[in-house]
Amino acid sequence: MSERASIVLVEDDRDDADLIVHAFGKATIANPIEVSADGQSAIGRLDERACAGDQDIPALILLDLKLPRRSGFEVLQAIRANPLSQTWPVVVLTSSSESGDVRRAHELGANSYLVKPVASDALLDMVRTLRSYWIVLNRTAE
Amino acid sequence: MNSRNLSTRAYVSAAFFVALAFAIRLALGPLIQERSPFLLFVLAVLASAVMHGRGPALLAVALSTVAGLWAFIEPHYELKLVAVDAATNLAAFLATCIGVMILTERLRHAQAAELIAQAKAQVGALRYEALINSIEAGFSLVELQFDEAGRAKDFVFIEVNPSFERQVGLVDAQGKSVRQLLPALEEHWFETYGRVALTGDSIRFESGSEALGRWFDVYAVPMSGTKPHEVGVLFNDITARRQAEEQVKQLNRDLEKLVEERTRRLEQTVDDLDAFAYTVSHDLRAPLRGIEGFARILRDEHAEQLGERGRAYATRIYMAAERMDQLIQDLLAYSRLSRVDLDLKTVELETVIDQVLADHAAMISAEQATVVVERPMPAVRGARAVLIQIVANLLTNALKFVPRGRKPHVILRTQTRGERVCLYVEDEGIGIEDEFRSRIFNVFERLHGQEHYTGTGIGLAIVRKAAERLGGAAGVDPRDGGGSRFWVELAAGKADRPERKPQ
Repeated sequence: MSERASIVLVEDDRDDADLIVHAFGKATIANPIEVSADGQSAIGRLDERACAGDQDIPALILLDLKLPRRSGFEVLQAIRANPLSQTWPVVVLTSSSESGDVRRAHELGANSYLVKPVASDALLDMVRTLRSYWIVLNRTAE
Repeated sequence: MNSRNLSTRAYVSAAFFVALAFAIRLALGPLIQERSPFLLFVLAVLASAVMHGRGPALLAVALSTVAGLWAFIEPHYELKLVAVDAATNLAAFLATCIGVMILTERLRHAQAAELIAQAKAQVGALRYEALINSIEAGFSLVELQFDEAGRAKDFVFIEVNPSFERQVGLVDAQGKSVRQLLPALEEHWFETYGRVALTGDSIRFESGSEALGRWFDVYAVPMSGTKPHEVGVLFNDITARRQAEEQVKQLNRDLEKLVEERTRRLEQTVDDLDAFAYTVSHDLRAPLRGIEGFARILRDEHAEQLGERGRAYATRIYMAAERMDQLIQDLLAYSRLSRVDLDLKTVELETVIDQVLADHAAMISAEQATVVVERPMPAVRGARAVLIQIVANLLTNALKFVPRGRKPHVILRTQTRGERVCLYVEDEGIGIEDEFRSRIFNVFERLHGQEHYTGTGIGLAIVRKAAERLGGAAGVDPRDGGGSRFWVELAAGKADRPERKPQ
């Protein structure tokens, strides 16, 4: 158990995961980051944390949609289906900008939907926004 | 003229008969008794009546009376028995004449009526013969035979025309019954003709006969001839036409099947394309993020080790990656425009332009550009997101293609023509030569190298496709005083329910 709540990144692309983690570093976000590389293991680990109780609530879950074994939608469904985790902040971070995906993510209860930018400037901007909106706000709310 | 001559001759002839009778009477005078002075004249009247009719007969009567009275009856001036005798003679003569005339008149009438009837029948028969012998259609006069229950059980061909054999395929049918000639003939033919014979109503119908292997167009009409239950059947062999119709129907069915099959395959192709576009948007961009991100990290965080050239190369790597990303995004936008169903609503053009200007505020100030919007603008019929795409592409186009060192000056204005609204985006840019004006709306059509003006070559293709999807058109004209005037023509929006809320 760390001092700050951790950020969970569900991302199967190693390059993307490394770049996102790098951007978090540049944006001076100190929360530890846990990376899950597939949907199935993400569901398992989030379930464990939900059962562990209040101390282990993630500060933010960043969820890719296209994942091996279980899709991001299934992960989202599992989080919202469990009463212990249904209020956790989930931000979908994916490369799809298809309106169908956006609609479905919101229907399943995603708090936000972000499209991965190619330009790293844009990625850094996005991470800074995430910090100020989700992480800082959530912490002060506690 | 002719008939008057004829009647004149008839009267002259009657007078001649009287004269002849008079002459004979004179000649035979001594032999004939004084008591019958008019005897021969009766013959003259009879001849006139029989040969020439009432008028000449009356003349004959008059002349005979005068001649008889004058020549053969002596005048008596006292009421004596002789005078009574002469008067009786005259009365008898006149009565006889009237009788003769009435009888001959009747006779002549009866004769004339018979002659006329005969002539008519002959003409009718001739016409009828000529008609049925000359027509292409088959004709037969049939006599229906009924069983005790009143059902038609057979018919006999009383008469057939020369076309009959060719039309129906039966040889020497005349006088034979159809059961004998064609035992397999379907029942419905008997029923139909039986009904015509019994009800007296004619009927027109098309029907096929398996027994004959043909189709017929039939007109059956009751013929009240010498026998009851006779029906005239006029028909045409329409087998060829029916077969052609059947063929057309079959071809149509084949065509429909083909269209269905093609449509199914096309839908499959569209689905495949959707899947492809999805793959492109996800999987093709993923490695790009790696290239761009790591090249940038290299340049920013490992600058020392790279040296100046190394840094320049790293910069070029991530810039190339960004360009490719833009290209993929534009292609996606273009393909999405073709496949997505658009929900057309009334949209305020001004709100669209305001949003595009807000989105591009950074670019506008970076280029130190002036953008003038001539308000108010009308509402148009469209989809907000697509309209934003159109205006954004035209605006960035106008901001981009300016001579080096010039500040862009862009004017957005509209013009309403009836039910259509034209949006103009005018620039004072580098302009477009005539020969390229129609080409710049094609995908990947670029007039300038990347080093002069960056771009993917899809922006204007998106504008045109988007305008077409909204039921409009897009184009470009040269602007007076240099530069270009791009235009997008759209349907005017309905004033009642404008969709103002930005998405």
